[in-house]
Amino acid sequence: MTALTVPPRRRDWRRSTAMIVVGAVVIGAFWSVDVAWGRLGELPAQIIRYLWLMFSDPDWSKLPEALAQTWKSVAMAWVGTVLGIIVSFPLAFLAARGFSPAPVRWGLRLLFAVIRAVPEIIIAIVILSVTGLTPLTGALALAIGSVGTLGKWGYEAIEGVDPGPIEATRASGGTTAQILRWGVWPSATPDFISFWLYRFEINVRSSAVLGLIGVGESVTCSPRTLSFGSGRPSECSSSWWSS
Amino acid sequence: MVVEHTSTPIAPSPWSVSMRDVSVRYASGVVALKNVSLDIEPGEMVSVVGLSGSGKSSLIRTINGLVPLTSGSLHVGGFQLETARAGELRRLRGHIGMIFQGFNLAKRTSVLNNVLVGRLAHTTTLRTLLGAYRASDRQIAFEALERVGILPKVWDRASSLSGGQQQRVAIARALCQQPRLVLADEPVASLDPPTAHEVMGDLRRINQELGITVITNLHLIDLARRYGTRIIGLRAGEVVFDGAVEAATDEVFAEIYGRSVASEDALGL
Repeated sequence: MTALTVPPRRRDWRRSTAMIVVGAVVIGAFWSVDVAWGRLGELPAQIIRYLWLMFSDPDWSKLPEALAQTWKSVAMAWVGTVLGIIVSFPLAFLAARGFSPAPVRWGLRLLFAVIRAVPEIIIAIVILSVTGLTPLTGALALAIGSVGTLGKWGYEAIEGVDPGPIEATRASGGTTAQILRWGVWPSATPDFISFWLYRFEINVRSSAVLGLIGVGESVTCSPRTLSFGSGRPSECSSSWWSS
Repeated sequence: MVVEHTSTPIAPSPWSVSMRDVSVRYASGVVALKNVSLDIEPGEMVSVVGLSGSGKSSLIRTINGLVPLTSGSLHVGGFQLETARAGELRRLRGHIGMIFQGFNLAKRTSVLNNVLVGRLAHTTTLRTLLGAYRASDRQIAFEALERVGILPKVWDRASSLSGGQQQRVAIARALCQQPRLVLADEPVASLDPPTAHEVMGDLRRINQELGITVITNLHLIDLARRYGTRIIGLRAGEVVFDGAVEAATDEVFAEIYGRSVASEDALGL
Protein backbone atom coordinates (compact mmCIF):
# COMPACT_ATOMS: atom_id res chain seq x y z
CA MET A 1 0.00 0.00 0.00
CA THR A 2 1.39 3.34 -1.02
CA ALA A 3 1.41 6.31 1.29
CA LEU A 4 -1.55 8.64 0.72
CA THR A 5 -0.85 12.26 -0.10
CA VAL A 6 -3.57 14.12 1.76
CA PRO A 7 -3.55 17.79 0.79
CA PRO A 8 -3.12 20.15 3.76
CA ARG A 9 -6.40 21.44 5.14
CA ARG A 10 -6.86 25.11 4.48
CA ARG A 11 -7.69 27.30 7.48
CA ASP A 12 -9.80 30.38 7.07
CA TRP A 13 -8.62 32.80 9.76
CA ARG A 14 -11.78 34.91 9.50
CA ARG A 15 -13.91 31.89 10.19
CA SER A 16 -11.69 30.81 13.09
CA THR A 17 -11.76 34.31 14.59
CA ALA A 18 -15.55 34.45 14.28
CA MET A 19 -15.90 31.07 16.00
CA ILE A 20 -13.64 32.15 18.88
CA VAL A 21 -15.50 35.45 19.35
CA VAL A 22 -18.92 33.78 19.29
CA GLY A 23 -17.70 31.10 21.70
CA ALA A 24 -16.36 33.74 24.10
CA VAL A 25 -19.66 35.63 24.02
CA VAL A 26 -21.65 32.49 24.79
CA ILE A 27 -19.38 31.52 27.69
CA GLY A 28 -19.38 35.12 28.97
CA ALA A 29 -23.15 35.22 28.81
CA PHE A 30 -23.49 32.05 30.86
CA TRP A 31 -21.00 33.44 33.38
CA SER A 32 -22.75 36.77 33.78
CA VAL A 33 -26.38 35.68 34.17
CA ASP A 34 -25.57 33.97 37.46
CA VAL A 35 -27.87 30.99 37.11
CA ALA A 36 -28.53 29.07 40.32
CA TRP A 37 -27.81 25.70 38.80
CA GLY A 38 -28.40 23.97 42.10
CA ARG A 39 -32.09 24.72 41.89
CA LEU A 40 -32.45 23.04 38.52
CA GLY A 41 -33.58 19.87 40.30
CA GLU A 42 -36.63 21.67 41.67
CA LEU A 43 -37.83 22.64 38.20
CA PRO A 44 -40.15 19.67 37.49
CA ALA A 45 -41.94 20.15 40.82
CA GLN A 46 -42.31 23.88 40.12
CA ILE A 47 -43.77 23.24 36.69
CA ILE A 48 -46.37 20.91 38.16
CA ARG A 49 -47.17 23.42 40.91
CA TYR A 50 -47.75 26.23 38.42
CA LEU A 51 -49.88 24.05 36.19
CA TRP A 52 -51.90 23.16 39.28
CA LEU A 53 -52.34 26.81 40.24
CA MET A 54 -53.41 27.63 36.69
CA PHE A 55 -55.87 24.86 36.08
CA SER A 56 -56.97 23.28 39.36
CA ASP A 57 -59.80 25.59 40.24
CA PRO A 58 -61.17 27.30 37.12
CA ASP A 59 -63.73 30.04 37.53
CA TRP A 60 -66.14 28.87 34.84
CA SER A 61 -68.17 32.08 35.06
CA LYS A 62 -65.23 33.88 33.38
CA LEU A 63 -65.25 31.46 30.45
CA PRO A 64 -67.55 33.41 28.08
CA GLU A 65 -65.54 36.57 28.55
CA ALA A 66 -62.27 34.71 28.15
CA LEU A 67 -63.47 33.17 24.90
CA ALA A 68 -64.66 36.54 23.66
CA GLN A 69 -61.27 38.09 24.48
CA THR A 70 -59.48 35.26 22.75
CA TRP A 71 -61.57 35.74 19.66
CA LYS A 72 -60.82 39.46 19.64
CA SER A 73 -57.15 38.68 20.06
CA VAL A 74 -57.24 36.34 17.08
CA ALA A 75 -59.20 38.90 15.04
CA MET A 76 -56.63 41.59 15.78
CA ALA A 77 -53.83 39.20 14.83
CA TRP A 78 -55.64 38.32 11.61
CA VAL A 79 -56.13 41.94 10.54
CA GLY A 80 -52.51 42.72 11.47
CA THR A 81 -51.22 39.76 9.46
CA VAL A 82 -53.28 40.55 6.37
CA LEU A 83 -52.17 44.19 6.39
CA GLY A 84 -48.58 43.06 6.94
CA ILE A 85 -48.77 40.69 3.98
CA ILE A 86 -50.23 43.36 1.70
CA VAL A 87 -47.41 45.79 2.54
CA SER A 88 -44.51 43.33 2.76
CA PHE A 89 -45.29 41.41 -0.43
CA PRO A 90 -44.19 44.04 -2.98
CA LEU A 91 -41.40 45.27 -0.67
CA ALA A 92 -39.88 41.77 -0.47
CA PHE A 93 -39.52 41.68 -4.26
CA LEU A 94 -37.95 45.16 -4.28
CA ALA A 95 -35.48 44.05 -1.59
CA ALA A 96 -34.33 40.94 -3.47
CA ARG A 97 -31.01 40.93 -5.29
CA GLY A 98 -31.28 41.23 -9.05
CA PHE A 99 -34.66 42.92 -9.30
CA SER A 100 -34.14 46.50 -8.08
CA PRO A 101 -31.32 49.06 -7.75
CA ALA A 102 -28.90 48.57 -4.84
CA PRO A 103 -29.92 51.74 -2.91
CA VAL A 104 -33.57 50.63 -2.86
CA ARG A 105 -32.52 47.17 -1.79
CA TRP A 106 -30.30 48.28 1.06
CA GLY A 107 -32.80 50.91 2.21
CA LEU A 108 -35.54 48.31 2.49
CA ARG A 109 -33.27 45.82 4.23
CA LEU A 110 -32.35 48.47 6.79
CA LEU A 111 -36.04 49.27 7.28
CA PHE A 112 -36.88 45.59 7.85
CA ALA A 113 -34.00 45.26 10.35
CA VAL A 114 -35.07 48.35 12.30
CA ILE A 115 -38.66 47.10 12.51
CA ARG A 116 -37.49 43.69 13.70
CA ALA A 117 -35.40 45.31 16.42
CA VAL A 118 -38.44 47.05 17.93
CA PRO A 119 -41.00 45.01 19.91
CA GLU A 120 -44.62 45.37 18.80
CA ILE A 121 -45.54 46.81 22.19
CA ILE A 122 -43.19 49.78 21.60
CA ILE A 123 -44.58 50.26 18.08
CA ALA A 124 -48.06 50.31 19.61
CA ILE A 125 -47.09 52.92 22.20
CA VAL A 126 -45.62 55.14 19.47
CA ILE A 127 -48.60 54.95 17.12
CA LEU A 128 -51.33 55.16 19.75
CA SER A 129 -50.51 58.84 20.08
CA VAL A 130 -52.12 59.15 16.65
CA THR A 131 -54.68 56.37 16.56
CA GLY A 132 -55.57 56.23 20.26
CA LEU A 133 -56.34 53.20 22.37
CA THR A 134 -58.32 51.39 19.73
CA PRO A 135 -58.19 47.88 18.31
CA LEU A 136 -56.81 49.47 15.14
CA THR A 137 -53.68 50.50 17.03
CA GLY A 138 -52.98 46.92 17.98
CA ALA A 139 -53.63 45.66 14.47
CA LEU A 140 -51.39 48.36 12.96
CA ALA A 141 -48.59 47.60 15.42
CA LEU A 142 -48.78 43.93 14.47
CA ALA A 143 -48.90 44.84 10.77
CA ILE A 144 -45.75 46.96 11.05
CA GLY A 145 -44.01 44.26 13.05
CA SER A 146 -45.04 41.70 10.43
CA VAL A 147 -43.47 43.76 7.63
CA GLY A 148 -40.08 43.44 9.31
CA THR A 149 -40.07 39.65 9.42
CA LEU A 150 -42.15 38.90 6.30
CA GLY A 151 -40.02 41.30 4.24
CA LYS A 152 -36.80 39.58 5.29
CA TRP A 153 -38.11 36.03 4.86
CA GLY A 154 -39.63 37.02 1.53
CA TYR A 155 -36.50 38.42 -0.10
CA GLU A 156 -34.45 35.51 1.19
CA ALA A 157 -36.93 33.06 -0.35
CA ILE A 158 -36.87 34.98 -3.64
CA GLU A 159 -33.07 34.96 -3.75
CA GLY A 160 -33.02 31.26 -2.99
CA VAL A 161 -35.24 30.04 -5.85
CA ASP A 162 -33.97 27.92 -8.73
CA PRO A 163 -32.40 30.32 -11.26
CA GLY A 164 -33.38 28.10 -14.23
CA PRO A 165 -36.98 29.32 -14.69
CA ILE A 166 -35.77 32.90 -14.24
CA GLU A 167 -33.35 32.47 -17.14
CA ALA A 168 -36.09 30.84 -19.22
CA THR A 169 -38.59 33.66 -18.66
CA ARG A 170 -35.92 36.24 -19.40
CA ALA A 171 -34.90 34.36 -22.56
CA SER A 172 -38.49 34.36 -23.80
CA GLY A 173 -38.62 38.14 -23.60
CA GLY A 174 -40.26 38.65 -20.20
CA THR A 175 -40.21 42.00 -18.37
CA THR A 176 -38.98 42.11 -14.76
CA ALA A 177 -42.56 41.85 -13.50
CA GLN A 178 -43.23 38.85 -15.75
CA ILE A 179 -39.98 37.19 -14.66
CA LEU A 180 -41.04 37.60 -11.03
CA ARG A 181 -44.52 36.27 -11.77
CA TRP A 182 -43.60 33.19 -13.81
CA GLY A 183 -39.90 32.62 -13.07
CA VAL A 184 -39.85 33.27 -9.32
CA TRP A 185 -43.34 33.09 -7.85
CA PRO A 186 -44.19 29.44 -8.72
CA SER A 187 -41.04 28.29 -6.90
CA ALA A 188 -41.46 30.64 -3.93
CA THR A 189 -45.19 30.14 -3.24
CA PRO A 190 -44.91 27.39 -0.59
CA ASP A 191 -42.28 29.37 1.33
CA PHE A 192 -44.40 32.50 1.29
CA ILE A 193 -47.51 30.71 2.49
CA SER A 194 -45.68 29.01 5.34
CA PHE A 195 -44.13 32.36 6.40
CA TRP A 196 -47.56 34.00 6.38
CA LEU A 197 -49.08 31.29 8.55
CA TYR A 198 -46.15 31.37 10.95
CA ARG A 199 -46.36 35.14 11.23
CA PHE A 200 -50.09 34.80 12.00
CA GLU A 201 -49.16 32.49 14.89
CA ILE A 202 -46.65 35.02 16.20
CA ASN A 203 -49.25 37.78 15.91
CA VAL A 204 -51.84 35.83 17.93
CA ARG A 205 -49.28 35.57 20.71
CA SER A 206 -48.21 39.21 20.40
CA SER A 207 -51.78 40.48 20.44
CA ALA A 208 -52.20 39.06 23.96
CA VAL A 209 -49.11 40.99 25.06
CA LEU A 210 -50.45 44.16 23.43
CA GLY A 211 -53.53 43.72 25.62
CA LEU A 212 -51.37 44.48 28.65
CA ILE A 213 -50.99 48.13 27.62
CA GLY A 214 -54.68 48.45 26.96
CA VAL A 215 -54.50 48.75 23.21
CA GLY A 216 -57.97 48.08 22.04
CA GLU A 217 -59.64 49.60 25.04
CA SER A 218 -61.38 52.74 23.97
CA VAL A 219 -63.28 54.26 26.86
CA THR A 220 -62.52 52.92 30.28
CA CYS A 221 -58.79 53.11 30.12
CA SER A 222 -56.82 56.34 30.10
CA PRO A 223 -53.20 56.66 28.91
CA ARG A 224 -52.17 57.17 32.58
CA THR A 225 -52.40 53.44 33.05
CA LEU A 226 -49.42 53.11 30.77
CA SER A 227 -47.02 54.16 33.55
CA PHE A 228 -44.76 51.15 33.67
CA GLY A 229 -42.83 52.55 36.65
CA SER A 230 -45.66 51.65 38.99
CA GLY A 231 -44.89 48.00 38.62
CA ARG A 232 -48.46 47.44 37.52
CA PRO A 233 -48.39 47.55 33.73
CA SER A 234 -52.07 48.17 33.38
CA GLU A 235 -55.01 48.49 35.67
CA CYS A 236 -57.39 47.50 32.99
CA SER A 237 -55.71 44.54 31.43
CA SER A 238 -58.63 42.33 32.31
CA SER A 239 -60.75 43.83 29.57
CA TRP A 240 -58.43 45.27 27.04
CA TRP A 241 -60.55 45.25 23.97
CA SER A 242 -63.37 47.73 23.49
CA SER A 243 -66.61 46.29 24.71
CA MET B 1 -61.30 19.08 -24.59
CA VAL B 2 -61.14 19.18 -28.35
CA VAL B 3 -58.69 21.64 -29.79
CA GLU B 4 -59.09 22.62 -33.39
CA HIS B 5 -56.01 22.42 -35.53
CA THR B 6 -55.03 25.39 -37.61
CA SER B 7 -52.95 24.85 -40.69
CA THR B 8 -50.98 28.10 -40.47
CA PRO B 9 -47.27 27.46 -40.01
CA ILE B 10 -45.88 28.40 -36.60
CA ALA B 11 -42.91 30.31 -38.03
CA PRO B 12 -43.80 33.17 -40.33
CA SER B 13 -40.27 33.67 -41.64
CA PRO B 14 -37.05 32.30 -40.15
CA TRP B 15 -34.22 34.57 -39.11
CA SER B 16 -30.59 34.75 -40.09
CA VAL B 17 -27.68 35.55 -37.77
CA SER B 18 -24.70 37.61 -38.81
CA MET B 19 -21.69 38.07 -36.49
CA ARG B 20 -18.70 40.26 -37.28
CA ASP B 21 -15.61 40.12 -35.05
CA VAL B 22 -17.68 39.47 -31.95
CA SER B 23 -15.76 39.27 -28.69
CA VAL B 24 -17.22 38.63 -25.26
CA ARG B 25 -15.31 39.32 -22.08
CA TYR B 26 -16.99 38.73 -18.72
CA ALA B 27 -16.57 40.97 -15.68
CA SER B 28 -14.35 38.26 -14.19
CA GLY B 29 -11.88 38.89 -17.03
CA VAL B 30 -12.59 35.57 -18.76
CA VAL B 31 -12.67 35.98 -22.54
CA ALA B 32 -15.47 33.69 -23.78
CA LEU B 33 -15.47 34.61 -27.48
CA LYS B 34 -12.59 36.00 -29.57
CA ASN B 35 -13.29 37.75 -32.87
CA VAL B 36 -16.02 35.37 -33.96
CA SER B 37 -17.45 35.97 -37.44
CA LEU B 38 -20.34 33.80 -38.62
CA ASP B 39 -23.25 33.90 -41.03
CA ILE B 40 -26.16 31.61 -40.40
CA GLU B 41 -28.80 31.54 -43.12
CA PRO B 42 -32.55 31.41 -42.49
CA GLY B 43 -33.75 27.83 -42.02
CA GLU B 44 -30.33 26.28 -41.32
CA MET B 45 -29.84 23.52 -38.75
CA VAL B 46 -26.44 24.17 -37.17
CA SER B 47 -24.55 22.09 -34.60
CA VAL B 48 -22.07 24.08 -32.51
CA VAL B 49 -19.47 21.76 -31.02
CA GLY B 50 -16.60 22.18 -28.60
CA LEU B 51 -15.46 21.11 -25.16
CA SER B 52 -17.03 22.64 -22.08
CA GLY B 53 -15.58 26.11 -21.61
CA SER B 54 -15.01 26.54 -25.35
CA GLY B 55 -17.60 29.35 -25.56
CA LYS B 56 -20.63 27.45 -26.96
CA SER B 57 -23.00 28.68 -24.25
CA SER B 58 -21.69 32.23 -24.53
CA LEU B 59 -22.16 32.11 -28.31
CA ILE B 60 -25.86 31.29 -28.21
CA ARG B 61 -26.51 33.56 -25.22
CA THR B 62 -24.95 36.41 -27.18
CA ILE B 63 -27.37 35.78 -30.02
CA ASN B 64 -30.43 36.44 -27.81
CA GLY B 65 -28.75 39.19 -25.82
CA LEU B 66 -28.55 37.35 -22.50
CA VAL B 67 -24.79 37.97 -22.70
CA PRO B 68 -23.77 41.43 -23.97
CA LEU B 69 -21.04 41.59 -26.60
CA THR B 70 -17.87 43.45 -25.66
CA SER B 71 -16.96 44.36 -29.24
CA GLY B 72 -17.94 43.59 -32.81
CA SER B 73 -21.35 43.65 -34.42
CA LEU B 74 -24.23 41.19 -34.33
CA HIS B 75 -27.29 41.27 -36.54
CA VAL B 76 -30.19 38.93 -35.67
CA GLY B 77 -33.45 39.26 -37.59
CA GLY B 78 -34.01 42.99 -37.87
CA PHE B 79 -32.09 43.76 -34.64
CA GLN B 80 -28.61 45.17 -34.19
CA LEU B 81 -27.56 43.77 -30.82
CA GLU B 82 -24.59 45.98 -29.95
CA THR B 83 -26.85 49.03 -29.86
CA ALA B 84 -30.17 47.46 -28.80
CA ARG B 85 -31.90 48.87 -25.74
CA ALA B 86 -33.60 46.78 -23.06
CA GLY B 87 -37.04 46.99 -24.69
CA GLU B 88 -35.66 45.97 -28.09
CA LEU B 89 -33.81 43.04 -26.51
CA ARG B 90 -37.09 41.84 -24.99
CA ARG B 91 -38.81 42.05 -28.36
CA LEU B 92 -35.91 40.18 -29.97
CA ARG B 93 -36.08 37.45 -27.32
CA GLY B 94 -39.80 37.20 -27.88
CA HIS B 95 -39.02 35.78 -31.33
CA ILE B 96 -36.19 33.47 -30.23
CA GLY B 97 -36.99 30.19 -28.49
CA MET B 98 -34.38 28.85 -26.11
CA ILE B 99 -33.91 25.31 -24.83
CA PHE B 100 -31.64 24.52 -21.89
CA GLN B 101 -29.69 21.54 -20.63
CA GLY B 102 -31.58 21.62 -17.31
CA PHE B 103 -35.04 22.23 -18.93
CA ASN B 104 -35.56 25.30 -16.70
CA LEU B 105 -39.25 24.69 -16.07
CA ALA B 106 -41.12 26.18 -13.13
CA LYS B 107 -41.63 22.78 -11.54
CA ARG B 108 -44.38 23.68 -9.10
CA THR B 109 -46.84 24.89 -11.68
CA SER B 110 -48.71 23.24 -14.54
CA VAL B 111 -47.32 22.25 -17.92
CA LEU B 112 -49.69 24.77 -19.52
CA ASN B 113 -48.42 27.66 -17.38
CA ASN B 114 -44.87 26.75 -18.35
CA VAL B 115 -45.69 26.67 -22.05
CA LEU B 116 -47.54 29.99 -21.80
CA VAL B 117 -44.25 31.59 -20.70
CA GLY B 118 -43.65 31.52 -24.45
CA ARG B 119 -46.44 34.10 -24.85
CA LEU B 120 -45.03 36.62 -22.32
CA ALA B 121 -43.52 38.90 -24.93
CA HIS B 122 -46.68 38.73 -27.06
CA THR B 123 -49.22 39.55 -24.34
CA THR B 124 -49.90 42.57 -22.14
CA THR B 125 -48.12 42.50 -18.76
CA LEU B 126 -51.40 42.73 -16.85
CA ARG B 127 -52.80 39.63 -18.54
CA THR B 128 -49.64 37.64 -17.87
CA LEU B 129 -49.47 38.74 -14.22
CA LEU B 130 -53.03 37.56 -13.64
CA GLY B 131 -52.53 34.45 -15.74
CA ALA B 132 -55.51 35.61 -17.84
CA TYR B 133 -54.14 34.63 -21.23
CA ARG B 134 -56.32 35.04 -24.32
CA ALA B 135 -57.98 31.98 -25.78
CA SER B 136 -55.84 32.39 -28.90
CA ASP B 137 -52.67 32.21 -26.78
CA ARG B 138 -53.90 29.04 -25.08
CA GLN B 139 -54.65 27.63 -28.52
CA ILE B 140 -51.04 28.27 -29.57
CA ALA B 141 -49.84 26.56 -26.37
CA PHE B 142 -52.05 23.50 -27.00
CA GLU B 143 -50.78 23.22 -30.57
CA ALA B 144 -47.17 23.48 -29.42
CA LEU B 145 -47.73 20.67 -26.92
CA GLU B 146 -49.45 18.57 -29.57
CA ARG B 147 -46.47 19.02 -31.89
CA VAL B 148 -44.11 17.44 -29.37
CA GLY B 149 -46.69 14.78 -28.49
CA ILE B 150 -47.28 15.78 -24.90
CA LEU B 151 -50.69 17.46 -24.96
CA PRO B 152 -52.24 14.81 -22.63
CA LYS B 153 -49.97 16.15 -19.84
CA VAL B 154 -51.17 19.75 -20.23
CA TRP B 155 -52.71 20.01 -16.74
CA ASP B 156 -50.01 18.04 -14.89
CA ARG B 157 -47.48 19.66 -12.60
CA ALA B 158 -44.16 20.02 -14.43
CA SER B 159 -42.31 18.27 -11.59
CA SER B 160 -44.34 15.09 -12.12
CA LEU B 161 -42.91 14.54 -15.62
CA SER B 162 -39.82 12.55 -16.60
CA GLY B 163 -36.70 14.29 -17.90
CA GLY B 164 -37.54 13.62 -21.54
CA GLN B 165 -41.10 14.85 -21.05
CA GLN B 166 -39.86 17.99 -19.29
CA GLN B 167 -37.53 18.75 -22.18
CA ARG B 168 -40.48 18.34 -24.57
CA VAL B 169 -42.46 20.83 -22.49
CA ALA B 170 -39.48 23.17 -22.76
CA ILE B 171 -39.49 22.72 -26.55
CA ALA B 172 -43.24 23.44 -26.56
CA ARG B 173 -42.54 26.59 -24.53
CA ALA B 174 -40.08 27.68 -27.24
CA LEU B 175 -42.56 26.80 -30.03
CA CYS B 176 -45.28 28.74 -28.22
CA GLN B 177 -43.26 31.89 -28.95
CA GLN B 178 -43.85 31.19 -32.67
CA PRO B 179 -40.10 31.63 -32.96
CA ARG B 180 -38.06 32.59 -35.98
CA LEU B 181 -34.96 31.10 -34.42
CA VAL B 182 -34.45 28.36 -31.83
CA LEU B 183 -31.32 28.15 -29.68
CA ALA B 184 -30.63 24.91 -27.81
CA ASP B 185 -27.86 24.71 -25.21
CA GLU B 186 -26.83 21.05 -24.73
CA PRO B 187 -30.51 20.01 -24.92
CA VAL B 188 -29.91 16.28 -24.38
CA ALA B 189 -26.94 16.24 -21.99
CA SER B 190 -29.25 15.39 -19.05
CA LEU B 191 -31.15 12.64 -20.89
CA ASP B 192 -30.64 8.92 -21.46
CA PRO B 193 -29.59 7.90 -25.02
CA PRO B 194 -32.99 6.83 -26.48
CA THR B 195 -34.69 9.94 -25.07
CA ALA B 196 -31.82 12.05 -26.37
CA HIS B 197 -32.54 10.84 -29.90
CA GLU B 198 -36.26 11.53 -29.54
CA VAL B 199 -35.62 15.09 -28.37
CA MET B 200 -33.05 15.71 -31.12
CA GLY B 201 -35.64 14.33 -33.56
CA ASP B 202 -38.16 16.89 -32.27
CA LEU B 203 -35.66 19.69 -32.94
CA ARG B 204 -35.03 18.38 -36.45
CA ARG B 205 -38.77 18.28 -37.17
CA ILE B 206 -39.08 21.87 -35.98
CA ASN B 207 -36.40 22.78 -38.49
CA GLN B 208 -37.67 20.67 -41.39
CA GLU B 209 -41.45 21.01 -41.01
CA LEU B 210 -41.65 24.59 -39.77
CA GLY B 211 -38.53 25.93 -41.44
CA ILE B 212 -37.25 27.55 -38.24
CA THR B 213 -33.51 28.25 -37.97
CA VAL B 214 -32.10 25.97 -35.24
CA ILE B 215 -28.72 26.35 -33.55
CA THR B 216 -27.82 23.53 -31.17
CA ASN B 217 -24.84 23.26 -28.84
CA LEU B 218 -23.60 19.69 -28.56
CA HIS B 219 -20.46 18.00 -27.38
CA LEU B 220 -21.22 14.50 -28.76
CA ILE B 221 -19.86 14.01 -32.27
CA ASP B 222 -22.43 11.54 -33.58
CA LEU B 223 -25.37 13.71 -32.49
CA ALA B 224 -23.77 16.78 -34.07
CA ARG B 225 -23.28 14.94 -37.38
CA ARG B 226 -26.63 13.21 -37.43
CA TYR B 227 -28.87 16.15 -36.58
CA GLY B 228 -27.02 19.11 -38.07
CA THR B 229 -26.42 20.06 -41.69
CA ARG B 230 -23.56 22.34 -40.75
CA ILE B 231 -21.00 22.17 -37.97
CA ILE B 232 -19.29 25.05 -36.25
CA GLY B 233 -16.35 24.08 -34.03
CA LEU B 234 -15.28 26.31 -31.15
CA ARG B 235 -12.05 26.04 -29.23
CA ALA B 236 -11.07 28.50 -26.50
CA GLY B 237 -13.57 31.05 -27.81
CA GLU B 238 -12.45 30.92 -31.44
CA VAL B 239 -14.09 29.35 -34.48
CA VAL B 240 -11.70 26.61 -35.62
CA PHE B 241 -14.06 24.89 -38.05
CA ASP B 242 -17.10 25.96 -40.02
CA GLY B 243 -18.43 23.72 -42.76
CA ALA B 244 -20.80 21.03 -43.92
CA VAL B 245 -21.27 17.84 -41.87
CA GLU B 246 -19.53 15.80 -44.58
CA ALA B 247 -16.37 17.86 -44.18
CA ALA B 248 -16.27 17.39 -40.39
CA THR B 249 -14.07 14.29 -40.25
CA ASP B 250 -12.63 12.74 -37.10
CA GLU B 251 -9.44 14.69 -37.80
CA VAL B 252 -11.45 17.91 -37.77
CA PHE B 253 -13.02 16.97 -34.41
CA ALA B 254 -9.56 16.14 -33.04
CA GLU B 255 -8.55 19.67 -34.01
CA ILE B 256 -11.66 21.17 -32.38
CA TYR B 257 -11.18 19.19 -29.16
CA GLY B 258 -7.42 19.58 -29.11
CA ARG B 259 -6.97 15.83 -28.63
CA SER B 260 -7.71 12.60 -30.46
CA VAL B 261 -11.36 11.55 -30.65
CA ALA B 262 -12.40 8.81 -28.22
CA SER B 263 -15.47 6.61 -27.83
CA GLU B 264 -16.75 8.87 -25.01
CA ASP B 265 -17.22 11.61 -27.61
CA ALA B 266 -20.18 9.73 -29.09
CA LEU B 267 -23.56 8.80 -27.65
CA GLY B 268 -23.23 5.55 -29.55
CA LEU B 269 -26.79 4.44 -30.16
